[in-house]
Amino acid sequence: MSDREPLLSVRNLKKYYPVKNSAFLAANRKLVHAVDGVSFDIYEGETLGLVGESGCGKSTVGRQLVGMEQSDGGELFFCGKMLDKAEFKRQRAQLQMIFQDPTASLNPRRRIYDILSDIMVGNGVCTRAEAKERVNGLLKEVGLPENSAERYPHEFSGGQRQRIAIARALSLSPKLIICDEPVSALDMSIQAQILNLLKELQSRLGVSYLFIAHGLGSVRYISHRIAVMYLGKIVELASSAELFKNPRHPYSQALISAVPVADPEKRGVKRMITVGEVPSSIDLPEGCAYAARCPYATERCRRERPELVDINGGEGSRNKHLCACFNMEVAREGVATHEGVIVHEGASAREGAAEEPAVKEGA
Amino acid sequence: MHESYLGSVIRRFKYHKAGVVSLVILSLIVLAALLAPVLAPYDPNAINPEFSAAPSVKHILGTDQIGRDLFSRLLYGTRVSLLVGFLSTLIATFIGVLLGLIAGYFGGAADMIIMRCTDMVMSFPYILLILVAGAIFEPGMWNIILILGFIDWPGIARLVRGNVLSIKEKDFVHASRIGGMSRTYILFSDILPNTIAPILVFATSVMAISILDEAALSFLGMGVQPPAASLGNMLNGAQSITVLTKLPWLWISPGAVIVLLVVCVNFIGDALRDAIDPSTTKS
Amino acid sequence: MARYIVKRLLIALIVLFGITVIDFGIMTLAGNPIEILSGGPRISEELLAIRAQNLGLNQPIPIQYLNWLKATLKGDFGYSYKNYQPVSEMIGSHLGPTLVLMGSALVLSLIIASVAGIYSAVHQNSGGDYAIVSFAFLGQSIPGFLLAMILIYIFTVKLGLLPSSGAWTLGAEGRGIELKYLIMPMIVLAFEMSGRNIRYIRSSVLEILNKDYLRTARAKGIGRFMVIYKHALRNALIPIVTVIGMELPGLFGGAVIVEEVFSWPGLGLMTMNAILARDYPVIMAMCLLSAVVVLLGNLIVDIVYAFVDPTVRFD
Repeated sequence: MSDREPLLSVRNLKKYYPVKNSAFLAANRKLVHAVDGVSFDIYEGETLGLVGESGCGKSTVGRQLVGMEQSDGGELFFCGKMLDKAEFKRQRAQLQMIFQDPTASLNPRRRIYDILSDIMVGNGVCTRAEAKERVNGLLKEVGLPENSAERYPHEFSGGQRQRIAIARALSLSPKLIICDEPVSALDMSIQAQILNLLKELQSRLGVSYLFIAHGLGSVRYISHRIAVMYLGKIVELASSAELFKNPRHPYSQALISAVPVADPEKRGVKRMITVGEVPSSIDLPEGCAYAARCPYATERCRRERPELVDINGGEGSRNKHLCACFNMEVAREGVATHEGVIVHEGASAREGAAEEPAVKEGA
Repeated sequence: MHESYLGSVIRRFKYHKAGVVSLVILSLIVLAALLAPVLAPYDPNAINPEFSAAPSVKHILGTDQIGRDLFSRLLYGTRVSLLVGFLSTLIATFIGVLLGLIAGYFGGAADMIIMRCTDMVMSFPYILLILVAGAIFEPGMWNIILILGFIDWPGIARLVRGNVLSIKEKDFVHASRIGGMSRTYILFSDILPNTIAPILVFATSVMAISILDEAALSFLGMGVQPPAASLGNMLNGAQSITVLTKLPWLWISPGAVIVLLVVCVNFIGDALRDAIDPSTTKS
Repeated sequence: MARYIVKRLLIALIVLFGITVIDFGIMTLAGNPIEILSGGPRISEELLAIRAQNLGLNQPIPIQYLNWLKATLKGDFGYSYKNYQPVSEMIGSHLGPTLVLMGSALVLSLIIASVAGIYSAVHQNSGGDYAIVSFAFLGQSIPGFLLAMILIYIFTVKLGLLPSSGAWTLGAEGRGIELKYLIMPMIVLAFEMSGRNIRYIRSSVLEILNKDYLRTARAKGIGRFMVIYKHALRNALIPIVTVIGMELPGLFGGAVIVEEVFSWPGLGLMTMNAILARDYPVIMAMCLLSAVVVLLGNLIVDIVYAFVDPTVRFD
């Protein structure tokens, strides 16, 4: 793949929330670092998976990209131009979104035709007269029966509603669609259908996705590259194949081992189970945010914050394998040698400083 | 066969027997009021030779002290009471919806000012406010409509504001915003249709209260002025002990119509509430 | 909590200020009271001018308002245009009967509404439930003055049991309010109030009864009686407190019509007479006073909430 200009570049994106009820004085107000300096690129026709536990800030990143939330720092570049307020207004139609819950994302009082045609006519994509044909085309594209236009959202199943939401996102022919956990509210069998539809649309229309999810299962299937987020930071970013083959960050390793494997041959392969508490993002530890739960954590991890470094030496950001960990070599060994259950026994961030890394064998 | 939202509301409304019966009765009353000129056997203000006559074949509800036919007056009075109830509710709903939408959607200073205004109107003792306004402005039907309309809006404004606050954080509103739709579109196509149902329910209670208030004002002589008839001012005469004891037909029939009217409106409101929000259905 | 109360008090002050402005505005719109006072034929132009000057009515409206505000802040509500009595004195002498009437009606209606509402919810869909709900609808739908007339017709005219007007036997003012005078106005007010509140309490209790923790209590084998009276009732206090809060605004002005019909010598009757006579100082004082009662009442209710319902937070 040639390395062209990225479609969207995110640089050092930040979002802080003030914590309520903490103190009387504004000076003492604490901040939640929901997104703490996140950078990545998305190329045309590419899907970037963004994975992490709930509360890690992945959805906030998505919401910032479409302007649902203001940023507290960082820059966005779209098609090479900086997305300031004016440019964002111009490019608004190019950045669309699919939400997690298709029931909540469709106006229950409006017919599908209204939902789809209003947005097209409102953006000058087509005239009222052309709208009917356009709507039917869109519905066909997402695999819905032709008579759907005259119906209300509540008459459809969850999967069909998500198709409608996809049709709405596509109606403005965007270059990038933020998919915020688009399948996690659906049944397993429906999930696959929606993922296939997204893939198919991508190959046909060349649209890019930022695919946000909390587990690696569906992300692996649809993403070209995957970014793993932990407490507001990206800890590892690599191509899908590379990440699964050669995960370097202990957190990525834990996530990968949590993916169910549908292969009876692999039954019995032991898993890595992460225990211990996620440190509150209000009182982030000084060093690596994952240190409290990490089996390989050392003194340095608790003192210093590791930066993302490229370990692949690939050309262009597309082929890089970025990882933020001081002990990634040890971590790789850990995966290779320990066949037993690795229990990450994390003490809380504050009191865990003196403890040795705890790696237990067996169950 | 797919069912629209309205269809499902109608279906559930039918389960509420009292609501259906009330709707039928109210429709009959409205029809009778509309057809008053056709149905009334006499001119409501014409004076007949029989004074204070008890109900008879000639005057089915009797006549009042100056010989006007009570049935004819009742038809025209119902007309006035319904008109007052309907128009003042319309005005109150319009003001309440508009202010509630603005306060809820835009927030900030607009919200602050509007909510303080609702606080003010709501902190006035309701009846006192109506009476003061009623006494100060020239009494008469149109002024009553305006007064009631301009006093009854805060409840609706609060209701709409609360609904807007919760709806504007829904994903479908975000989707419209991401889709670059205008504020007017989001307010009137996304938010308003989703808050119409509770507004409608609330409006029925406002209408019931308006009808009662008109009756009370006219009863006290500060509402609709004679010779025009309203249900309230027909009862005005019953303040005298002679009318109360010797001429009971003068107050029983208008009193019964007021109660019937308000009971019907209240039952319809109750049925609507159940039909619109199935989760509150009592069963 | 303290911060919350201070904040609420500040808002209440702003609202009060607004109310006085609106009040004054309405009065001004209605025209100069001198025009009304000049109704008598024998008053000469000069005399009117002197009176206008004495009352400060010849000054510009904003000045009149400021004068009124200044006096009011000092606790001086001025003098009645009608009988030249100090307004505060008039309010003082009419306060007692209104408090007695409204207080007794509120207590009676609360008893009726809570007993009926809770019974109705516990015996949902029974005959008793339907009867109570219908009663509530009727209570909401009968104009107070009509009920008053019906009661007078039955108890005064037909049965001759209860007096229809006043609060005490003529010539016996000193002995205070007599019960037989109180009964009918109290019933009319209580009927109206309980009609409004039965259904509210019923649906709140229903909601509580359907909560999971009560189901759990029932499933654990705790008796029906215990479930309802130990677990549900404490929570049912919340809607009852709400009801008191909702009735407060009506308490002061709400008795106007009933007091008028029964000639009850309270604030309502006084206000009614002031309204008819356009006795502005009296009307202004009454509006302000009732607004204070309403705002303070709402504040107290909110604070009581915090004690009854530990989940209520103030931000």
